[in-house]
Amino acid sequence: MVDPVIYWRVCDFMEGHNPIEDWRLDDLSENGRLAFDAMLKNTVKVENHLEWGAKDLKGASKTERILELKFIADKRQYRLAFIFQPGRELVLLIGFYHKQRVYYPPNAIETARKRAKAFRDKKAGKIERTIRFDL
Amino acid sequence: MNERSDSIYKLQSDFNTRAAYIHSKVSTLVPSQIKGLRLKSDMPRQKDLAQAAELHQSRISMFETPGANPTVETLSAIAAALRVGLKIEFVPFSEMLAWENGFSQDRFDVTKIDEDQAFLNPAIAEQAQPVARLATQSPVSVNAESYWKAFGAELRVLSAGITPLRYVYVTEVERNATIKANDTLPDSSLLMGNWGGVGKGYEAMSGQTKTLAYVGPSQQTNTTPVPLKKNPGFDVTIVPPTVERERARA
Repeated sequence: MVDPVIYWRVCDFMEGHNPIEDWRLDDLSENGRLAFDAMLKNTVKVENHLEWGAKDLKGASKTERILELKFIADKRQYRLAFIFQPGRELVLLIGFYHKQRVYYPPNAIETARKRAKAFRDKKAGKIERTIRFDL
Repeated sequence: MNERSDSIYKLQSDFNTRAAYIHSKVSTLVPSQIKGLRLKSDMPRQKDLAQAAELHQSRISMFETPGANPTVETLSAIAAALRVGLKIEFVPFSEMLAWENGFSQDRFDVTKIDEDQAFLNPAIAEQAQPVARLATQSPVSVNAESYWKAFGAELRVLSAGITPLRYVYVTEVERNATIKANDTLPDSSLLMGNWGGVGKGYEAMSGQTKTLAYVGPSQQTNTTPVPLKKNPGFDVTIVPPTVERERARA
């Protein structure tokens, strides 16, 4: 098997439970879970984060430095809000999608902002996400 | 049952799981290929690629999003705009996984039609077969210089003076191939043919790296194929051009 070159580490926001994994398991279909995994697996191999296609999270201010990655599954465009951490690390804050101005889960942007603040204030933690290369 | 074996079982037993698994890989790597090629092209903005492909910019944006589902027709238009070809192939699952693991958007690049000598000059490309084939087929007459230049190889002078001039033509299929002096590659991966008793041609496979090299006079013409020999060792240093370019850039 070819050894992939990994540049980035992905962590999930943690606050008692892991809301990212909960969302992945409970809200995404099998298609969605596989697309989510494949997207992250490819993203960690792209050294320059400017080439990920990530954009500032709409609804959050620039100073909050919250970005979003996108992937498509089941004809929905899912988004993953995240923040960067030193040492080439990103912390996933929430996964969501929206139709017009209706967000699923509701208040997703506000939740992302609260979680980013809680994490930066050290009131919440993180757990590293395992990227599988054997499957 | 661990997570992996559970997933393997599902893949073996369920059509929908297999379809979703395949789609997740293809629909992630194809957008990444488009993005990687666009960023390395002379039209790094989505708008420019869109114009060349006769598509709207928003569609290029969508086709670069993981999970996108472009039609073969759209992919052909994008390939045409990028001046590259397109190959769609059914493969074993292991090969698909290896493709996914080994894929790098950073390193992914494809020769444009304008630089594709094997396509533009088929007569030379016909001669430019791997050394192993040369050594096992009936006698052929091949000019070493045209042979290696057909691969886009660079000519290096190794030594001069009292000893006859020696040249190395170096090319590669993938990057990062470095064979140092006196390196010995695995027997099974190394094939060698003589070029008229003076030059030597090498085709070396090491992991995912394939290196083709010729050592000998620049104008040597071969007419005497010899049986394959294994593991002759190397007496030259072979550094692929791309590695040199990367070093120079660094």
